[in-house]
Amino acid sequence: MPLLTVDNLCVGYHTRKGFIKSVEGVSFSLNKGKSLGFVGESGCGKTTIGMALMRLLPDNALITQGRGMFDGRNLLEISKEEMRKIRWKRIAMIFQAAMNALNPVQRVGEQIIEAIVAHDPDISMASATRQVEKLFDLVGITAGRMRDFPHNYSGGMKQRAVIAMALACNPDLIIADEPTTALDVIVQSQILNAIKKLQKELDIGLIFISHDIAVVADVCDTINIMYAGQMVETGRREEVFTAPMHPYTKNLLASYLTLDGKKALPMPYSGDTANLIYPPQGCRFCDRCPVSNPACSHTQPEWIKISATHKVRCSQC
Amino acid sequence: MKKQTPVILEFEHILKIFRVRTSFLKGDSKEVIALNNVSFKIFKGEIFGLVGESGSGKTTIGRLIAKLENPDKGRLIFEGEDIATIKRKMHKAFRRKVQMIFQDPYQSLNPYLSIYDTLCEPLIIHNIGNKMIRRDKVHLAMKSVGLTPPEDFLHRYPYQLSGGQRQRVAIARAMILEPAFVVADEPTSMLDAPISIQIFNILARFSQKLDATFLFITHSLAAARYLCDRIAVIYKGELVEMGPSENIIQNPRHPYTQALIKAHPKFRY
Repeated sequence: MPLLTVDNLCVGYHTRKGFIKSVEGVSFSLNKGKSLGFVGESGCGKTTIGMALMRLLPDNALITQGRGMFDGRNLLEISKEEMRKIRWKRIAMIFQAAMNALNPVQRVGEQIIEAIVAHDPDISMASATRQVEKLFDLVGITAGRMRDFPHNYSGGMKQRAVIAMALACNPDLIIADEPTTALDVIVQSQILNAIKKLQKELDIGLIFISHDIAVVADVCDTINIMYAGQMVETGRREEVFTAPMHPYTKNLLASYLTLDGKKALPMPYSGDTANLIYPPQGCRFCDRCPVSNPACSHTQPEWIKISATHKVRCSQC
Repeated sequence: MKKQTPVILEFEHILKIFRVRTSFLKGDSKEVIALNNVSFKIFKGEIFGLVGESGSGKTTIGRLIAKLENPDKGRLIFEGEDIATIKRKMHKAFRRKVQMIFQDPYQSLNPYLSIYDTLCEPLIIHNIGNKMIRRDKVHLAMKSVGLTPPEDFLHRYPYQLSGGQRQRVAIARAMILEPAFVVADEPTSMLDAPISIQIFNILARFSQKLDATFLFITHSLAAARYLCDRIAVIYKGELVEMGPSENIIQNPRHPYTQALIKAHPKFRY
């Protein structure tokens, strides 16, 4: 039985210009101990998916459809009180540039202890402190740094502290949204290794959201490619990256700059992302697609199965 | 690689120190050596990459060139002249030749100016042309960065454009004066990969067409590899390695360069 099953999730935002259909018909499932990556450009809806599951969407957002089944309950429908009990204890989230979320006037160790005690009021201070020491050890921060303030930490250390906080209550699932974007490449490499190690050791389910395909390829078993609010391709990482099917996936891969391989600037594709207030009747990638035909603009593409695990949503594949 | 022509810019033993307040009440401060004895040359017409992580001093180098900061020691020579000795009344002429493209397209454009006014502003400041000529130049600039048809964009304000579009306006604004030297400080680090590629292509085209010299500041060795003729690697205020980009990538000598390459996510597919 999967840890999390999301079925036909649709989320939008009310704005002055209209209702932005930010996530449309997204379905996926995640098993315990496995990792799933969401890749796509800014505005594709990947962050909205994470926030919807955590019920942390802003006031102008609306979940118009869908279910998110976790432990027999629909996360999208349970009460705020029930969600508060699940949040952090069963599902934790690491936000982008989360290091800025650390309280600057409180010692880092105390902040994590606070998180532990909030979800386990009967725990003793000594136990909680020991737990934080263990967590710091897990993420590679020396225990002595517990008494420091966030400004004494480097960017990488702060992010690791945030990861420790996410792990504090032994969650079953972690949603990490661009956890390494604000970090330098050497620190990023350390953080990704820490996340992979922890995920395996603690058998935690991981949803990893990023615009950087290399980072996602490094961490996740399964990849979901997002474009303009819709999932356009999904499969095991080997399948999606060695045999990409969707024209957008191919373009995304071609845009990735490597240190090896041919040295030539990849050809960019033209245009900007689709209008999500009045999305096209047909495929949302149609305008920028190099292989589209007239039918693509008025018929929604169906899912085509490539293998048991790999499928693509495109009428030209 | 471009033929080596005259040196357009030279850093000679540059030292730059920043004083940082360490205590709010006591007025204590400490010194941070942002650049320590930095020396290098950039040749006319090349795209020179400066790669380093945050805090390495790379942005400070860009700011020194644009005369937004002054060095504490050493000389910065542009077109044969020490820029510290440029007389006040010649500052404007200097600024026309040396332009900067900043990292954050959400902050570098004046939100109160339409795109048309944004692009006209440098022309007006430098007394270039009349209304008609300026209008033509603005249209040409928009086309050169792929914001076509210009009429669709010129009346808009920055908030109505995407990050990639804004950055293209920032580039158009920098290039409209046909500068001799452009400092591009992390021009794509806030943009997604496919949009970044569009921006790189625009910069590469400008370099070829206008024979302008570019200093491309980035934390991404991979981006520098694609765009630049030569790369310098900077670490904690010191240049640790410099050479033709492919050499640096294939044959890194300095341990820091090697660490950067090792840490770069390997896309094995």
